[in-house]
Amino acid sequence: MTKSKAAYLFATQTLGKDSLYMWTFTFAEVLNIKDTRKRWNYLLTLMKRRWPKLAGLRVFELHKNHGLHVHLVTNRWIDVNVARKLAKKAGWGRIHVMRIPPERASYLAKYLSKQRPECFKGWRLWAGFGEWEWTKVKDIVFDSFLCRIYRACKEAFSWTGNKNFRDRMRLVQWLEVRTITKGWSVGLGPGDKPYSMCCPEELLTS
Amino acid sequence: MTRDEMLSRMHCGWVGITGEFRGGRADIVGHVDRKTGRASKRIVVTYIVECWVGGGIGVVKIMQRLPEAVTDPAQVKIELEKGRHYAFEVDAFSKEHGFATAWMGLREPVPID
Repeated sequence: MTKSKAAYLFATQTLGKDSLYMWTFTFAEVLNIKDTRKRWNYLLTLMKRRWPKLAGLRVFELHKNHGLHVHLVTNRWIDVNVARKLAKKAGWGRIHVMRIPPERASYLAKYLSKQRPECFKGWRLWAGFGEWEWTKVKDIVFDSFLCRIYRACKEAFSWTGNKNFRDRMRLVQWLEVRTITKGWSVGLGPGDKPYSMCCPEELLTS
Repeated sequence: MTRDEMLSRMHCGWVGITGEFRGGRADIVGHVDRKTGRASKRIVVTYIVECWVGGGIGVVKIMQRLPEAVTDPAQVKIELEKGRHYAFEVDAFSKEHGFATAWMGLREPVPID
Protein backbone atom coordinates (compact mmCIF):
# COMPACT_ATOMS: atom_id res chain seq x y z
CA MET A 1 0.00 0.00 0.00
CA THR A 2 1.29 3.45 -0.86
CA LYS A 3 1.53 6.25 1.67
CA SER A 4 -1.04 8.17 -0.36
CA LYS A 5 -3.57 5.37 -0.11
CA ALA A 6 -2.87 4.94 3.61
CA ALA A 7 -3.40 8.69 4.13
CA TYR A 8 -6.69 8.50 2.21
CA LEU A 9 -7.90 5.59 4.35
CA PHE A 10 -7.06 7.44 7.57
CA ALA A 11 -8.82 10.53 6.22
CA THR A 12 -11.99 8.51 5.54
CA GLN A 13 -11.95 7.36 9.15
CA THR A 14 -11.83 11.00 10.31
CA LEU A 15 -14.59 12.06 7.93
CA GLY A 16 -16.90 9.15 8.50
CA LYS A 17 -18.56 9.54 11.86
CA ASP A 18 -22.15 9.50 10.64
CA SER A 19 -23.44 8.42 7.28
CA LEU A 20 -21.73 9.71 4.17
CA TYR A 21 -22.66 10.34 0.56
CA MET A 22 -20.71 9.07 -2.40
CA TRP A 23 -20.94 11.12 -5.58
CA THR A 24 -19.74 10.40 -9.10
CA PHE A 25 -19.43 13.17 -11.68
CA THR A 26 -18.98 12.28 -15.33
CA PHE A 27 -19.26 13.83 -18.79
CA ALA A 28 -21.37 12.79 -21.73
CA GLU A 29 -18.33 13.01 -24.01
CA VAL A 30 -14.63 12.34 -23.40
CA LEU A 31 -12.77 15.56 -22.66
CA ASN A 32 -9.20 16.68 -22.44
CA ILE A 33 -7.88 15.90 -18.95
CA LYS A 34 -6.73 19.45 -18.22
CA ASP A 35 -10.09 20.91 -19.26
CA THR A 36 -11.86 18.38 -17.08
CA ARG A 37 -9.79 19.41 -14.11
CA LYS A 38 -10.57 23.09 -14.75
CA ARG A 39 -14.26 22.26 -14.89
CA TRP A 40 -13.94 20.31 -11.67
CA ASN A 41 -12.30 23.29 -9.92
CA TYR A 42 -15.11 25.52 -11.16
CA LEU A 43 -17.79 23.08 -9.97
CA LEU A 44 -16.14 22.74 -6.56
CA THR A 45 -16.07 26.53 -6.21
CA LEU A 46 -19.78 26.69 -7.05
CA MET A 47 -20.58 23.93 -4.58
CA LYS A 48 -18.55 25.53 -1.79
CA ARG A 49 -20.35 28.82 -2.39
CA ARG A 50 -23.74 27.10 -2.22
CA TRP A 51 -22.89 24.84 0.76
CA PRO A 52 -20.11 26.54 2.76
CA LYS A 53 -20.00 23.73 5.34
CA LEU A 54 -19.59 21.00 2.74
CA ALA A 55 -16.56 18.83 3.48
CA GLY A 56 -15.24 15.64 2.03
CA LEU A 57 -12.76 13.89 -0.17
CA ARG A 58 -12.28 13.91 -3.90
CA VAL A 59 -10.72 11.10 -5.94
CA PHE A 60 -9.84 11.27 -9.64
CA GLU A 61 -10.35 8.18 -11.75
CA LEU A 62 -9.17 7.90 -15.33
CA HIS A 63 -11.77 5.61 -16.83
CA LYS A 64 -10.53 3.36 -19.63
CA ASN A 65 -13.30 4.45 -22.03
CA HIS A 66 -14.88 7.60 -20.64
CA GLY A 67 -12.04 9.93 -19.63
CA LEU A 68 -11.77 11.53 -16.23
CA HIS A 69 -14.36 10.77 -13.57
CA VAL A 70 -14.50 12.55 -10.26
CA HIS A 71 -15.69 10.72 -7.18
CA LEU A 72 -16.57 12.49 -3.96
CA VAL A 73 -17.35 11.41 -0.46
CA THR A 74 -19.19 14.14 1.41
CA ASN A 75 -20.27 14.43 5.01
CA ARG A 76 -23.70 16.04 4.60
CA TRP A 77 -26.87 15.73 2.60
CA ILE A 78 -27.13 18.17 -0.27
CA ASP A 79 -29.94 18.50 -2.74
CA VAL A 80 -28.96 16.54 -5.83
CA ASN A 81 -31.21 18.69 -8.05
CA VAL A 82 -29.35 21.83 -6.99
CA ALA A 83 -26.04 19.99 -7.45
CA ARG A 84 -27.16 18.97 -10.96
CA LYS A 85 -27.95 22.58 -11.83
CA LEU A 86 -24.52 23.67 -10.62
CA ALA A 87 -22.87 20.81 -12.51
CA LYS A 88 -24.70 21.78 -15.68
CA LYS A 89 -23.52 25.37 -15.23
CA ALA A 90 -19.94 24.11 -14.90
CA GLY A 91 -20.31 21.93 -18.02
CA TRP A 92 -20.63 18.52 -16.38
CA GLY A 93 -22.81 15.63 -17.48
CA ARG A 94 -24.21 12.79 -15.40
CA ILE A 95 -24.24 12.84 -11.62
CA HIS A 96 -24.86 9.88 -9.40
CA VAL A 97 -25.14 9.92 -5.63
CA MET A 98 -25.75 7.27 -3.00
CA ARG A 99 -25.76 7.13 0.75
CA ILE A 100 -23.03 4.93 2.22
CA PRO A 101 -22.10 3.79 5.71
CA PRO A 102 -18.81 5.35 6.97
CA GLU A 103 -16.87 2.11 6.61
CA ARG A 104 -17.62 2.09 2.86
CA ALA A 105 -15.84 5.42 2.29
CA SER A 106 -12.66 3.45 1.76
CA TYR A 107 -14.21 1.98 -1.39
CA LEU A 108 -12.76 4.81 -3.47
CA ALA A 109 -9.26 3.76 -2.37
CA LYS A 110 -9.38 1.16 -5.11
CA TYR A 111 -8.80 3.95 -7.64
CA LEU A 112 -5.62 4.85 -5.78
CA SER A 113 -4.32 1.31 -6.22
CA LYS A 114 -4.35 1.59 -10.00
CA GLN A 115 -1.11 2.45 -11.71
CA ARG A 116 -0.86 6.23 -12.07
CA PRO A 117 -1.45 7.22 -15.72
CA GLU A 118 1.25 9.43 -17.23
CA CYS A 119 -1.15 12.33 -17.69
CA PHE A 120 -1.66 12.40 -13.90
CA LYS A 121 2.01 13.12 -13.25
CA GLY A 122 2.29 15.78 -10.56
CA TRP A 123 -1.43 15.62 -9.77
CA ARG A 124 -3.02 14.83 -6.48
CA LEU A 125 -5.02 11.69 -7.09
CA TRP A 126 -7.11 12.52 -4.06
CA ALA A 127 -7.62 15.61 -1.94
CA GLY A 128 -9.81 16.85 0.83
CA PHE A 129 -12.02 19.91 0.62
CA GLY A 130 -13.92 22.01 3.13
CA GLU A 131 -13.10 23.00 6.66
CA TRP A 132 -11.71 19.87 8.27
CA GLU A 133 -8.33 18.32 9.03
CA TRP A 134 -7.72 15.39 6.74
CA THR A 135 -4.61 13.23 6.96
CA LYS A 136 -1.78 14.43 4.72
CA VAL A 137 0.72 12.10 3.06
CA LYS A 138 3.53 13.91 4.91
CA ASP A 139 1.98 12.79 8.22
CA ILE A 140 2.24 9.11 7.32
CA VAL A 141 5.15 7.06 8.57
CA PHE A 142 5.78 3.69 6.99
CA ASP A 143 7.08 1.10 9.38
CA SER A 144 8.56 -2.23 8.38
CA PHE A 145 11.41 -4.53 9.25
CA LEU A 146 13.49 -3.13 6.37
CA CYS A 147 12.75 0.47 7.41
CA ARG A 148 13.96 -0.19 10.93
CA ILE A 149 17.22 -1.62 9.63
CA TYR A 150 17.59 1.35 7.27
CA ARG A 151 17.07 3.79 10.15
CA ALA A 152 19.62 1.93 12.28
CA CYS A 153 22.15 2.08 9.40
CA LYS A 154 21.42 5.75 8.84
CA GLU A 155 22.20 6.47 12.46
CA ALA A 156 25.23 4.18 12.65
CA PHE A 157 26.86 5.34 9.43
CA SER A 158 25.67 8.97 9.62
CA TRP A 159 23.94 8.83 6.26
CA THR A 160 22.57 12.12 5.03
CA GLY A 161 20.93 13.02 1.73
CA ASN A 162 20.42 10.56 -1.10
CA LYS A 163 24.05 10.00 -2.03
CA ASN A 164 24.78 6.36 -3.04
CA PHE A 165 21.18 5.43 -2.33
CA ARG A 166 21.32 2.24 -4.40
CA ASP A 167 24.45 1.02 -2.60
CA ARG A 168 22.86 1.84 0.73
CA MET A 169 19.73 -0.11 -0.16
CA ARG A 170 21.82 -3.09 -1.23
CA LEU A 171 23.58 -3.02 2.16
CA VAL A 172 20.28 -2.68 4.03
CA GLN A 173 18.75 -5.58 2.13
CA TRP A 174 21.79 -7.71 2.76
CA LEU A 175 21.60 -6.85 6.48
CA GLU A 176 17.92 -7.80 6.43
CA VAL A 177 18.83 -11.22 5.09
CA ARG A 178 21.61 -11.60 7.66
CA THR A 179 19.29 -10.49 10.49
CA ILE A 180 16.73 -13.12 9.52
CA THR A 181 19.11 -15.97 8.84
CA LYS A 182 21.36 -15.34 11.83
CA GLY A 183 18.58 -14.37 14.23
CA TRP A 184 20.02 -10.95 15.09
CA SER A 185 17.90 -8.33 16.83
CA VAL A 186 16.41 -5.72 14.49
CA GLY A 187 18.86 -2.90 13.79
CA LEU A 188 21.70 -4.61 15.64
CA GLY A 189 24.61 -6.75 14.50
CA PRO A 190 25.98 -10.03 15.96
CA GLY A 191 25.97 -10.10 19.77
CA ASP A 192 23.48 -7.21 19.80
CA LYS A 193 26.23 -4.76 18.92
CA PRO A 194 25.18 -1.58 17.10
CA TYR A 195 26.22 -1.59 13.44
CA SER A 196 28.70 1.20 14.11
CA MET A 197 30.63 -1.10 16.49
CA CYS A 198 30.78 -4.06 14.09
CA CYS A 199 33.63 -4.58 11.67
CA PRO A 200 32.60 -4.92 7.99
CA GLU A 201 33.41 -8.67 7.95
CA GLU A 202 30.97 -9.31 10.79
CA LEU A 203 28.17 -7.60 8.91
CA LEU A 204 28.88 -8.66 5.37
CA THR A 205 30.49 -12.09 5.35
CA SER A 206 28.03 -14.94 5.25
CA MET B 1 6.02 -33.40 -2.50
CA THR B 2 8.31 -35.50 -4.62
CA ARG B 3 10.42 -34.09 -7.45
CA ASP B 4 8.24 -35.86 -10.01
CA GLU B 5 5.09 -34.38 -8.53
CA MET B 6 6.67 -30.94 -8.65
CA LEU B 7 7.78 -31.43 -12.24
CA SER B 8 4.28 -32.45 -13.27
CA ARG B 9 2.88 -29.36 -11.53
CA MET B 10 5.39 -27.18 -13.37
CA HIS B 11 4.29 -28.72 -16.66
CA CYS B 12 0.75 -27.68 -15.75
CA GLY B 13 1.85 -24.05 -15.35
CA TRP B 14 2.71 -23.90 -11.65
CA VAL B 15 4.72 -20.75 -10.83
CA GLY B 16 6.95 -20.88 -7.85
CA ILE B 17 10.37 -20.84 -6.30
CA THR B 18 12.16 -23.87 -5.02
CA GLY B 19 15.20 -23.59 -2.87
CA GLU B 20 16.87 -24.14 0.45
CA PHE B 21 15.14 -22.44 3.35
CA ARG B 22 17.65 -20.26 5.21
CA GLY B 23 15.47 -18.46 7.71
CA GLY B 24 12.16 -16.77 8.32
CA ARG B 25 10.64 -14.09 10.45
CA ALA B 26 7.21 -12.60 11.10
CA ASP B 27 7.05 -8.86 11.55
CA ILE B 28 4.67 -5.93 11.56
CA VAL B 29 4.36 -3.80 8.46
CA GLY B 30 2.16 -0.78 8.49
CA HIS B 31 1.45 2.89 8.30
CA VAL B 32 1.06 5.28 11.22
CA ASP B 33 -0.54 8.71 11.12
CA ARG B 34 1.75 10.97 13.13
CA LYS B 35 -1.01 13.48 13.87
CA THR B 36 -3.80 11.23 15.09
CA GLY B 37 -1.75 8.21 16.07
CA ARG B 38 -3.96 5.91 13.99
CA ALA B 39 -2.24 2.87 12.59
CA SER B 40 -2.98 0.25 10.00
CA LYS B 41 -0.87 -2.83 10.49
CA ARG B 42 -0.48 -6.25 8.97
CA ILE B 43 1.77 -9.14 9.82
CA VAL B 44 4.13 -10.16 7.05
CA VAL B 45 6.23 -13.30 7.11
CA THR B 46 9.57 -13.11 5.29
CA TYR B 47 11.23 -16.31 4.12
CA ILE B 48 14.83 -16.26 2.94
CA VAL B 49 15.45 -18.92 0.34
CA GLU B 50 18.71 -19.78 -1.33
CA CYS B 51 18.26 -20.69 -4.96
CA TRP B 52 19.55 -20.15 -8.48
CA VAL B 53 18.80 -16.54 -9.32
CA GLY B 54 20.23 -14.08 -11.82
CA GLY B 55 22.73 -16.58 -13.24
CA GLY B 56 24.17 -17.74 -9.92
CA ILE B 57 23.38 -18.95 -6.44
CA GLY B 58 21.73 -16.18 -4.48
CA VAL B 59 19.02 -15.47 -1.99
CA VAL B 60 15.42 -14.55 -2.66
CA LYS B 61 13.17 -12.86 -0.18
CA ILE B 62 9.66 -14.32 -0.21
CA MET B 63 7.01 -12.31 1.57
CA GLN B 64 3.67 -13.62 2.77
CA ARG B 65 1.01 -11.24 4.03
CA LEU B 66 -1.11 -12.85 6.74
CA PRO B 67 -4.83 -12.21 7.31
CA GLU B 68 -5.90 -9.27 9.49
CA ALA B 69 -6.98 -11.68 12.21
CA VAL B 70 -3.31 -12.30 13.00
CA THR B 71 -2.19 -9.27 14.99
CA ASP B 72 0.85 -10.40 16.91
CA PRO B 73 4.05 -11.62 15.21
CA ALA B 74 4.69 -13.84 18.24
CA GLN B 75 1.54 -15.82 17.30
CA VAL B 76 3.20 -16.90 14.07
CA LYS B 77 5.18 -20.10 14.20
CA ILE B 78 7.47 -20.75 11.28
CA GLU B 79 7.84 -24.48 11.24
CA LEU B 80 10.13 -24.77 8.25
CA GLU B 81 13.40 -26.59 8.72
CA LYS B 82 16.57 -24.65 7.94
CA GLY B 83 18.64 -26.29 5.23
CA ARG B 84 15.71 -28.24 3.78
CA HIS B 85 14.36 -27.66 0.28
CA TYR B 86 10.87 -26.25 -0.12
CA ALA B 87 8.61 -25.19 -2.95
CA PHE B 88 6.97 -21.78 -2.56
CA GLU B 89 4.02 -21.03 -4.80
CA VAL B 90 4.32 -17.32 -5.57
CA ASP B 91 1.90 -14.71 -6.89
CA ALA B 92 4.33 -11.95 -7.91
CA PHE B 93 8.02 -11.23 -8.44
CA SER B 94 10.04 -8.04 -8.38
CA LYS B 95 13.65 -7.00 -8.41
CA GLU B 96 14.45 -4.01 -6.26
CA HIS B 97 17.96 -2.60 -6.00
CA GLY B 98 19.36 -5.80 -7.42
CA PHE B 99 17.53 -7.97 -4.93
CA ALA B 100 14.92 -10.52 -5.96
CA THR B 101 11.70 -10.43 -3.98
CA ALA B 102 8.59 -12.53 -4.41
CA TRP B 103 5.13 -12.47 -2.88
CA MET B 104 3.19 -15.58 -2.04
CA GLY B 105 -0.43 -16.19 -1.09
CA LEU B 106 -1.60 -18.05 1.98
CA ARG B 107 -0.57 -21.47 0.71
CA GLU B 108 2.07 -23.01 2.92
CA PRO B 109 5.51 -23.89 1.50
CA VAL B 110 5.74 -27.57 0.60
CA PRO B 111 8.85 -29.62 1.47
CA ILE B 112 10.49 -31.38 -1.44
CA ASP B 113 11.72 -34.91 -0.87
